[in-house]
Amino acid sequence: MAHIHVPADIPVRHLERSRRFSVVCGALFLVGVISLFVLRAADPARAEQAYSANWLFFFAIAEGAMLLCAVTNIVKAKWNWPVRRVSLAFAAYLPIAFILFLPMLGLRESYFPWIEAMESDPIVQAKAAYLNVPFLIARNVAGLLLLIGLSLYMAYLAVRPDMGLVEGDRDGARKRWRATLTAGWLGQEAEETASARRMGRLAPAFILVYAAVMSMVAYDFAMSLEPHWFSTIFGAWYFMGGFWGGIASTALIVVLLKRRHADLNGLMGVQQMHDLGKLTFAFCVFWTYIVFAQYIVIWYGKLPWEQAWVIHRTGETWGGFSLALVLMCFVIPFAGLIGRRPKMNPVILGSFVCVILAGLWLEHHLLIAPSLRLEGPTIGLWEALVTLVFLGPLLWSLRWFLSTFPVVQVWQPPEQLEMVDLEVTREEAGVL
Amino acid sequence: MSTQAGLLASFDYLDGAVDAVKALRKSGFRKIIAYSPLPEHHLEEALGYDQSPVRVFALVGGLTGAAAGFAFTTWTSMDWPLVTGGKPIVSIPAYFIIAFEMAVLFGALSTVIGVFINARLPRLRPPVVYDPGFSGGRFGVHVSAPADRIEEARRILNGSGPAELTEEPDPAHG
Amino acid sequence: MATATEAPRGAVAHPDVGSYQQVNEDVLKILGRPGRGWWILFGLASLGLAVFAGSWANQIINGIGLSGLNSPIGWGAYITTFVFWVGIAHSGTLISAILFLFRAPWRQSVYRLAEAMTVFAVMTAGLFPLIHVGRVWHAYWLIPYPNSRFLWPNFKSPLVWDVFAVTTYFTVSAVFFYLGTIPDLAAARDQARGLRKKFYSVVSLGWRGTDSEWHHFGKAYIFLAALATPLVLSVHSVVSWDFAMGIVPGWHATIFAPYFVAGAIFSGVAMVITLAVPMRKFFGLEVYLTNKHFDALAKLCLLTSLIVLYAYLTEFFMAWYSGEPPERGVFWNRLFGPYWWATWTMLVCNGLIPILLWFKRVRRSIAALFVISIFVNIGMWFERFVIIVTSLSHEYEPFAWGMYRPSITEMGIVLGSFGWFCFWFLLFTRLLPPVAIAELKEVLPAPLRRRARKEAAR
Repeated sequence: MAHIHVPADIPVRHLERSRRFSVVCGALFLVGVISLFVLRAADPARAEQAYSANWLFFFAIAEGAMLLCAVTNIVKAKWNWPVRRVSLAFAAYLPIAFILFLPMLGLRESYFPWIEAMESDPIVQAKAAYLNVPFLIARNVAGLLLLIGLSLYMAYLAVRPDMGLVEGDRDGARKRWRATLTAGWLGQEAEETASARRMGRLAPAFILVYAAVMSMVAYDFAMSLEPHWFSTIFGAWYFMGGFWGGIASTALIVVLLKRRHADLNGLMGVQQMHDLGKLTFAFCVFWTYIVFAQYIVIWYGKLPWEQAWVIHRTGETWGGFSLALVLMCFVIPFAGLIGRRPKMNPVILGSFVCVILAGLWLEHHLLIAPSLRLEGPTIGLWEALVTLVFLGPLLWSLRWFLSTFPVVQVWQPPEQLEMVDLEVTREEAGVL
Repeated sequence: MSTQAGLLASFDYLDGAVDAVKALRKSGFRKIIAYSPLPEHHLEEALGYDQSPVRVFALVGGLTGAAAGFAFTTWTSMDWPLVTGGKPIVSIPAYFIIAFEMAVLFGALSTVIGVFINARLPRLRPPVVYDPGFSGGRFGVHVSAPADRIEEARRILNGSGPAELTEEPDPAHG
Repeated sequence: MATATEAPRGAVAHPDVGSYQQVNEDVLKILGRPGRGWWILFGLASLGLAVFAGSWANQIINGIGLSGLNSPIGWGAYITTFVFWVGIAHSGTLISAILFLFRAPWRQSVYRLAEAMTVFAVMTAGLFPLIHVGRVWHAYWLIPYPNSRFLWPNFKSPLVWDVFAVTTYFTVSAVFFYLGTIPDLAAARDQARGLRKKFYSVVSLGWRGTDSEWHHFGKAYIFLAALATPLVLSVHSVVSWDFAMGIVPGWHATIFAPYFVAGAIFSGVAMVITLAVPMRKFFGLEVYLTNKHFDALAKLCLLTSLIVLYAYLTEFFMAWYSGEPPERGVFWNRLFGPYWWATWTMLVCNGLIPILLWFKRVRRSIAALFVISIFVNIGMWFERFVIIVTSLSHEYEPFAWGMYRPSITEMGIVLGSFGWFCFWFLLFTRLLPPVAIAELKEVLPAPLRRRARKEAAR
């Protein structure tokens, strides 16, 4: 059984700032925005759908990465301590995600079919207490503020004790952040204890809020687009997909960091790749399980209001995309990552993770587009271009976070060392 | 070939046993059995183990089970085509479940068979070369060598501080 | 950071266990002498078993009419109890397989007990479909073979899936359990005398603990764990699909599979606590089942209770959101209809009481955990009762609504099944090492010559 040691001395390491990288991210964003406006002029409904699907996708993986931090914190996982900060970096995208969400509050009749159906359809009328615009806006703004707020607080708790350990750093921007984050400093040891304790209390609450808010977002911006259809697993499908995406993108970024910065290889080693690979694989199975659990109930029940949703996605126009989704999210990663070696090889793992992320991206479009434009046009270049509106800021915010705060968490929560003396230490083992 | 002799050393300490195994292998002894009260990867590493063939058993069993599950359900429905519940005669989503259960069943059973074959279990006769302490707190090393090299082996074993060292006949090796 | 290396040796999972040999002595002495407590429990279990057998025999002789099952409610206490026991089984596999794959350091002391619980719970559960169908002498019809007109079973039926799932589960968990026990049976063999020695010699298959045995054993254990993990998910999912495939409002829900799996693990962890608390006391296992172990179990219990609560709330919300009168009706009926007491028992026991586990003080109190675990056991039985009975009693057509009350025979069988389960479980504690001896040593510091020398020099 492999044991992971937390070394006594962790090097403080920041990514260097890069103006070029920021320019590239800004350019991506600009191209995305321009494409969005061009598409909006040509086909406003499709622009809305592409925007909303992309927002859902990027928000899900960013929050999913935060969930990975929370969960590994609760179970006191030791394996991921060198890569936890990478997952945490997604916190920097969340405020941007909130700003990018604001335009979606303006979505009306062209996006939500229930606004029109409310006038004539008795079943939709029965849902009027939930499906109405003021409540939609109020609950989503409140829910997102709560979830994003908790995520940022979690990031703050994780980063704050590090600030005492990077004292000597002269970099101006970092110094400013250090000053902001260390308000009311109690001393290194007290800060570490306090942070670990608060994190322990916060993490379960975060998981609850995550499940509730993500379900709500999924119901409101994807499920309600076919107002007669409902599926109890829908929220879980969305947030477990997000969790998977968070794990996969953590793995991807770790792979990229390892390629660019050889000095990180010592910390983010084979063990971390193997474990991230195992989790990615496990969630591939779990994703399939959820999709199958939903599909087989609907397939077996043959209820008219239920199967419409599935038929829309398996018919002539969209069936090919659904098939591609199953290939990208189940068949290819399952076959590719089942062995031990591919999980430990960064290049192979990285390639499969890219397939998975592309599959999840497609999935979020498939949650929305077939409900609103059954006859097409299908998903194409335009959706990919609109993706840049989100991809640019995401990449920029990750880089910003990892160059402002240490790439590897320097302090370690005290209770994680509980099991350390179990192991035969290197010195004791001698020749072992 | 000259006659074979054997030595059995019992150790109170893990590192003693591991050192002994390493030293023996370094001097060219190959017929070594290590005993341990718990799964101990240091000992396995010292003996230079690689992948276990059990994985092939698991994989082949699982694939056989899945194929059998699909084949069985499909064949029986084709054998007497009867529409039930408005479902297709061959309903892949439904048969997937049966295929899955069969995959797990066959995979698990063949894994166990794999252990039995590879580890030569069950052994019906009581173990000859053995110390009851090996299931308690002791580690053991048995080395089997031609009679003329046995003194060298004894010297190596003594070097690692065994709690007990006895001469034992050559057990069925493996 | 630096302080940890100064921690006293062994201040880990089991601070009070001194050596490997001590584990053997502590655990194997349980097999030796049954105390009075054990005999009292065994007597009670045998009594329960007698009630179980008597009630069932009565039903076999006089017919299934002795149960309260009738149209419209054809599934009642028997199916409820079937699901209950299958659910109990799940956490055993979870603790032994999933926590093994996740390298959770606290599973070693509880997993043997949890695995034994799995095997016996599936044994109990497997009887209930046979009891339920009435003519048990036709039980062999469940085996997939063609009838006299060469017609095969309908493999599209969830009930046939269930036969495959439960049989596979029983076989695999029994094999997993037995394989894991072999090294410990060898330990028992090395200490036993007389007839017991013969018994352990045979069942330990001549295990010697050689490198080749451990090597293949260890690899097989990983593969079995990797196979058992999706199996756990699948078995209770298939059980849930017995219901969800039907279009009965209250049954036909897409979330059923994960919801049932979470509920199963929830109830199973609670049952592990229920069983571990008295075992710890009677057998003096305090140093092996420490507060930390109960704390970890309680956290797992809390986590699964939250998932279950999420599913409850989702179901109620979605029933309302559906806008379909039958869906809304059945859930309204659950909360405020004639079965309100069952629903509220379920909500309070599974949703509210486990919230106490948020508090560390509760998690560290073994008495409190024991009480909470009993509540959860009750609540989870009622959950299945609510799902099955209230849905059937309130389907689409009002003229077909009806009520169901379990008969004396049903209650005798349901309560007696606990006797049957405990009977086997108590025998297990006498015959097989109830704590995994070999694996427990993995979380003890290894005896090292260098360390001993250093300490002697100090």
